[in-house]
Amino acid sequence: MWEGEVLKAFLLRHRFDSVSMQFEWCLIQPCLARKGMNAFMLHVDDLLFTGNLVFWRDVFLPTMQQKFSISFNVLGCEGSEIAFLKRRLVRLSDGIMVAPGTTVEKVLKCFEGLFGSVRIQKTPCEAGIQQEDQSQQLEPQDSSSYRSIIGLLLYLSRDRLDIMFTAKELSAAMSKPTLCALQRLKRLMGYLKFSGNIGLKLSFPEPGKGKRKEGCELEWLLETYTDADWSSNKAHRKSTSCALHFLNGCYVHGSSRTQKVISLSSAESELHAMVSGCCDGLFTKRCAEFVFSAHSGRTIVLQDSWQPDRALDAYAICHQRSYGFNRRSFLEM
Amino acid sequence: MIVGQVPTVLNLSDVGTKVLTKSRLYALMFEVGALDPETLEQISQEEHATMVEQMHHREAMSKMGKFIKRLVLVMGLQGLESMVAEGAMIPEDQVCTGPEVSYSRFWIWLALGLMLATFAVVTFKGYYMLKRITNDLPHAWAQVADEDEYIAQQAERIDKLEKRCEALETNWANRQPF
Repeated sequence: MWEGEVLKAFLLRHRFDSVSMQFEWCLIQPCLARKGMNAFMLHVDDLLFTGNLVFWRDVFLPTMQQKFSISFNVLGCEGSEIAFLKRRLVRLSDGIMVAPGTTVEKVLKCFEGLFGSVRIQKTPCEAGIQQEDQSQQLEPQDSSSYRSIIGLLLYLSRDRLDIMFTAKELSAAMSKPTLCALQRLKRLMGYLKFSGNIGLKLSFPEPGKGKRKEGCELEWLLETYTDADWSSNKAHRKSTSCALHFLNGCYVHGSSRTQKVISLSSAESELHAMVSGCCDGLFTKRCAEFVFSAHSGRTIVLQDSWQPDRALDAYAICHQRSYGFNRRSFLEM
Repeated sequence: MIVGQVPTVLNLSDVGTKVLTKSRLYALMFEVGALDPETLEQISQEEHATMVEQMHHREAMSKMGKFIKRLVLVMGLQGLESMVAEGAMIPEDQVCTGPEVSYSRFWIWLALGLMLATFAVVTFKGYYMLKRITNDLPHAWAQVADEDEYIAQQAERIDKLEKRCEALETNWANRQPF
C-alpha cells in the first residue's frame, strides 16, 4: 500500500516538475515539497498547500488548473473547514481543530449493524485486556466483520489518543479474532458511544515555547514524550511503548506499539520506548526542518520513572560491545 | 537532542501504554488539547484541575520529605562514619571511633527528641487552629448575614428617603404661587 502511494507520488512529482514551478522535494518524505515560504504535501491525489496566499492565487492554482482538473477549499475565516487525508481541519479563533474524518457514528452504525447494539461504557478497555486470550475463535463471517471494524478504528485512532492503546491491542487479534476480542471490541464501542466525537486543538504556536520546556524565541521546539509498560502483556510478555510528539506545544503525532523484543528490565523497556520515540522524533524533526526551511530547532525527549542518564548508561554498559552503542552520538543526533 | 525527565503524572504518553481510569484518561486528553467538535469547548477540565491539584499535594509532600531528610542529615542522625568509610572504601572497623561515638549518640537522641517535639507542637497548633476556625466560621457567617440584613434595611430606608425627597421636590415645583 505504502509503496504504491510512494510510486504514485513519485509519478505526480515528475509531472509537477514538468509544470516547472521549481519546487524542492523532501528527500526523507517524498510527499513534501517547498519553495521559499510555500510548502505542500501530496498524497496520491490529495494536496495540502500552505504558504503565501498571493502565490497560491496567482501562481500555484492557475498552473495546476492548466494541467489538472481540480477542486479546492481554502481555510479562510473562523469556522471555515477543509478536509485532507480523511481529517477535518476547522479554523478556530486561536488555532485549528483537527477532527477525524471517520466519525464515531459511522463506526457505531457499522458495528451495531453487524453485532447488535452496545451499552455505554466509561473507559475504552478493562484491566484484563492484556491477559492471555484462550477463548473460542470467531466464525469466518464474524472474523471478517471484526477486521473491517478494526480497520475503521485504526483510522479513528490516529487522532483519538484515548483509544489508541485499545485499538492497538485489538488489532493484534486481527489474524485470529476470538470471542473475548469481540467482547473487548464491544466495550470500546460502548466507550465511543459515551465519549462521542473528539477533536484536537492546535493552538497558534509561539516560537520556542513548548508544553513543558522553553527555548530560544527564534527556534522551534519538538518535545517527545515516551513511556513504556514493562511486559504487561501476559500472552507474549512484550512491552508496549508509546511516544507523543509536540511541536511548539501542538500535538503532531502519536504512536503506541508493541516492542519487538522481550525486555528483561523496566529500564530496558523504557529505553526501547525512548529509542523508538527518538526515531519518530528525528523523522518529524527533519520534516519540520524541511518545511520551515530552518535548522534552529531543538528536540527534547522526555520520559518518566527512570533517570534518563542512568538508563542510557545502563544501556551503554549492556550493549556497547554487541551494538557499538555510543551515548554521546545518541545525544548528538 | 536533549533527554530529560518529566513527572509520571505529567507524562502524556501514559495514554498509549496502559489501561487508565476515566479521570486520568480525560485529564491527559485535556493536556493534549482534546475538544468537542460541536461546541468547540475543551473537554474534561474538571478532571484536569483535580489532577493538577493532586500533583501539587504530592509535590508539597515530597518537599516536606526532602526537608526532613536534610534535617536528619544535618543533625547527624545518619551514621556519617560508615558513609565516609563506604565512600573511601575503608572497612568500617578501621574507622576511628572513640569517645565521639557517645557524643554522636547523644546528638542522635537530641535530634530525635527535637523532631518529635517540633512535630507535636506543629500538630497541636494545627489542631487547635483548625478547631478555632471550625468554631469561628459559623459565627463569621452569622455576622456576615446580620450585616447583609442591616445593609438591606439601610438600603430600604435610603430608597424611602429618596422617594420622599422626590415627592417633596415635585410638590415644591407644583406649588401654587402665593
